[in-house]
Amino acid sequence: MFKSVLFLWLICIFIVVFSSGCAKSSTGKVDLSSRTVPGFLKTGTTTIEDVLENIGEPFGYREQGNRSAMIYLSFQEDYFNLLFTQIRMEESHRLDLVFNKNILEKAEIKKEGWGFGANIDPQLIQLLAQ
Amino acid sequence: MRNIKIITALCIILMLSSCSISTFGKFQAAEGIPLFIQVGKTTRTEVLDTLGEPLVHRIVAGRETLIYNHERGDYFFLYGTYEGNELVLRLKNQIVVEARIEKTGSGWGFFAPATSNNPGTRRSAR
Repeated sequence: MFKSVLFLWLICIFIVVFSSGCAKSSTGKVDLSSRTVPGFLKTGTTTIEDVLENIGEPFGYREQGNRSAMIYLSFQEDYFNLLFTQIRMEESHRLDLVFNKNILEKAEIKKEGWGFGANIDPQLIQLLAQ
Repeated sequence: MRNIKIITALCIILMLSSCSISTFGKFQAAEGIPLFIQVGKTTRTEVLDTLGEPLVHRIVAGRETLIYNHERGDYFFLYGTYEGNELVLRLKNQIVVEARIEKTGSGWGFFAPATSNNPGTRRSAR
């Protein structure tokens, strides 16, 4: 009798432990979750080369005459799972950099989207970035 | 009593046997910059012949740029990881003048895959 109860307890513990989980991931070359522009970006002095050197290749890039624009995306996802409960928190930010004659003219961070228990549509993010 | 033992054993085997590995991309980030690429020597044609068409081919600040991506996700029931990288090649006069690997993302999961960033799902760095 005692052994049966013990096994039942073990099975219950097993189910609780193994049906829980957590995960964390981030995508993007620069973390924008703090919603602050990276410190090295100075309007009027920073060049495209500085940005490429410090952050890397942008997600999106476009040139039109003397003006060019770079887009960097940052995506964070936290996931928790316990028994039948799943919590998913997502946040996506976008850094827009506008250059005039190779010099930074504007740097702006926008919140692209968020999710709670549901996915942000990644195709929508890509469409917005393009 | 015996049934409980069998069920417990089956549960353990099933839970411990779940694992997956997936990888996407035309180069292997873990191996570093492909050995055939030599800065100042390798031509665009050699790159395209060896690695194939890049994910992105564009001019950035007047410099021709090729981008190849690589994403890898591992999951061994208890622990999962994800990592994304890009191989960025800059060319001048059709010769590679700069080659570097840039990290595009990472993640971990404990008792869970490293979330939906795993390759094969819709979300990725590009």
